[in-house]
Amino acid sequence: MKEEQTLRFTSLGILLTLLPILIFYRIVSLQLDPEIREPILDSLIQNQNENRKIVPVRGEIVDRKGQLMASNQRSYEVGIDLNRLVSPHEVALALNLILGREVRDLEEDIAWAQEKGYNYLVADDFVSQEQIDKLDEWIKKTEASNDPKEAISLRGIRYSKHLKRSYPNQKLAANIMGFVGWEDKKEEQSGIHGVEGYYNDMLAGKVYRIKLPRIPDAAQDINLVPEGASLVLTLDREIQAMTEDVLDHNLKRNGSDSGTIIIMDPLTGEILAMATTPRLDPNRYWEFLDEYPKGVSFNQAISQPYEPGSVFKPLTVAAALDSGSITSDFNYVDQGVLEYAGAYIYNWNRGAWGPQDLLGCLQHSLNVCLATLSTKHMGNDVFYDYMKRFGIGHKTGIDMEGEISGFLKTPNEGYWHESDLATNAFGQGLTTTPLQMAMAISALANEGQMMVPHIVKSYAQLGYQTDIDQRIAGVPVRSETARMLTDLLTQSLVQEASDALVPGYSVAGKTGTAQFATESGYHPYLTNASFVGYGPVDHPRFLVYIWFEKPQSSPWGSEVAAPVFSELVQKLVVLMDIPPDDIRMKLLGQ
Amino acid sequence: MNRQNQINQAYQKTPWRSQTQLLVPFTLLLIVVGVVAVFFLNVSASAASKGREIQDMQATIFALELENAAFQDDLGNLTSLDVLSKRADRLGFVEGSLDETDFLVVQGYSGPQSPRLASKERPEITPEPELPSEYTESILSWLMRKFDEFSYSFYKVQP
Repeated sequence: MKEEQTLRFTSLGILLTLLPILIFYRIVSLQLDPEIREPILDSLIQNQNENRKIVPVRGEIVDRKGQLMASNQRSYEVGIDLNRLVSPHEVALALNLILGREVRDLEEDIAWAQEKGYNYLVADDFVSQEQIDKLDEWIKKTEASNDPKEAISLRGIRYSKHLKRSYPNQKLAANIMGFVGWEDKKEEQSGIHGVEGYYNDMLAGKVYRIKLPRIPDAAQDINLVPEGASLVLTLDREIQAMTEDVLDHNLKRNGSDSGTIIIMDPLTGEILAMATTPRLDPNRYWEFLDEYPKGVSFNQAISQPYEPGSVFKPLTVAAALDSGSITSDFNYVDQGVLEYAGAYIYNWNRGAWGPQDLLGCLQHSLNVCLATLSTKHMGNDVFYDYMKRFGIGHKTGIDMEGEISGFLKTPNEGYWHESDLATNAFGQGLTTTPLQMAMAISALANEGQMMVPHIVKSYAQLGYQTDIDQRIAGVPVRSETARMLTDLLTQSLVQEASDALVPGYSVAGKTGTAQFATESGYHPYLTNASFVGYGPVDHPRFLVYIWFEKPQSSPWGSEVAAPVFSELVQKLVVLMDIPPDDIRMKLLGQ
Repeated sequence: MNRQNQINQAYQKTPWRSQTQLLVPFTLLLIVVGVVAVFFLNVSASAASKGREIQDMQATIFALELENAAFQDDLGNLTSLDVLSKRADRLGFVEGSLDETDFLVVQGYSGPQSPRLASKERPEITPEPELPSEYTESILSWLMRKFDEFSYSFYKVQP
């Protein structure tokens, strides 16, 4: 009996000794073997941390005087916590009344999300503060109810705050600003068109994805995510508003399909205003397709090619003078028609103007004169070389998304015809954008030097503001040639007693009327009416380019666009603090 | 002899004395472990509390960033051209024309200046001092690290 007991105790003792040894061995082996340990540790770390995406605040955009043009507004995402949801129908009803979502759609979405086993369903986004206030009030009211069923009826509704892009001035400068919206296959909203599109990466900043520990004693310091860069535009909000106002009421007056006005500083290339139609309220960017059906450009100033017509003529005259093909005392007898390479070139009134000099050519806008200069005096090489120097057929390089290059055929290209040399000389048979024309003419206002047009003056990033350097686009003509053209363009306006003249101010300018090109040739009576002008001529502070598409009141640029120049400049000089010439000279003498 | 026995007995270890001799170091060990445990608990509780404060502050920073941006927008709305024009109309202002404008030279005034959104001076970035991990890691992380090193070295030497 005693021996038997001893055996039992011994066996039990051995068992109790071996068991802890085995357990200890297993613990140690589990801890030491990386193949076993790593997956366990990974899942532990994964559960310890919360994945968070930190989206920096998008940079602001202000005009040249610091007025806010684009900022960020409070907005809310409304969702449903499916684990806490009690009454899908009541929740759907509430969200229908506040957010306008269909009850049936919401109920179907909830049922689908529950079936998939999701915890959370987004009901709506970009919900306004007012809607959230209403929703909040409603939720609180139901929670305070004495009826326990009603008290929990809206349980599960959640909302979280975030920012959305906001444009305080609504449609003002909308074509310049662009907007922030969703693009295909992009996880974040991004800038589309205009400044928002071009500077999207800078404005948006860098999105960070970090792992935040859930347990408090493992909390780490998160480096502050820098905000996106803020931009200072060259644009002047007051000048832009005035320009849009002048454009809009003149569009109504002359019945044009669309219009564009650009105001730039010819000495720096800074864009002071750029008004085009149609304009979209960027706060309601989802109406884009209503405002811009297929074929309508977001910003005609940079992305709508057209045949500029006679506003092009100063470039041809400048090329002829600068190349030495003619001298300033050039004259010829206008016979009203020129035959070249099988094409017949006529003047705008089909008349013969007799003996003419350069001033007469520009003042009367004689096509035959310009075709004579290009075909008989310059030739292909000189003419097209100068057109390239003026940037025709190339993008200007403006810092806005959506610029196109226009189209200039050259002799080396298969579809160029010899007669193009004659028609191109007066701005037909080629296309440019209004901005390209403005930049090319700015060379005449700025001693022969063309500056790259730009819309951003400086940017602030990481607490430091950087001015953007002005860039020279080229020097197509000598300063003497530029001054000569300025004199000719000033005199031609004065002698013509043009409607473009501005009392008290010396301005240079040129009208343009181009037949409207269609797929089957030129339209018999529809035109593009333009005017380009700058002043004061001794020290130009502004260059204005005006284009009306298919005006109804008159086909002529001199009747449609020239008076708009005068009206606009009379307001512009007040906003830009430019005194009349006589006062300015006196003030300069003080 | 009797006296000698008495002296021997007096210097002989009594059972309670032996027990006491064992109990004292054990008690001391217990006290040391207790003190260490109290310190550890105190430090870890304090770390947890600070950690929670950091998390709260981070949440506050994010919320304030949103608020700040939204206030800027409110300001933008209040100073938008439309609002200011209506206000000017209400106050009886009218747009000035060229005929009504007088030009004066104001000495020292060179027109509106470009807005400053940030400093023009590039900020000097002072590199943050880099502390070796021994100064920043907790005793637990140190133990974990050492354990990791040990376990990897152990597995490396396996054939």
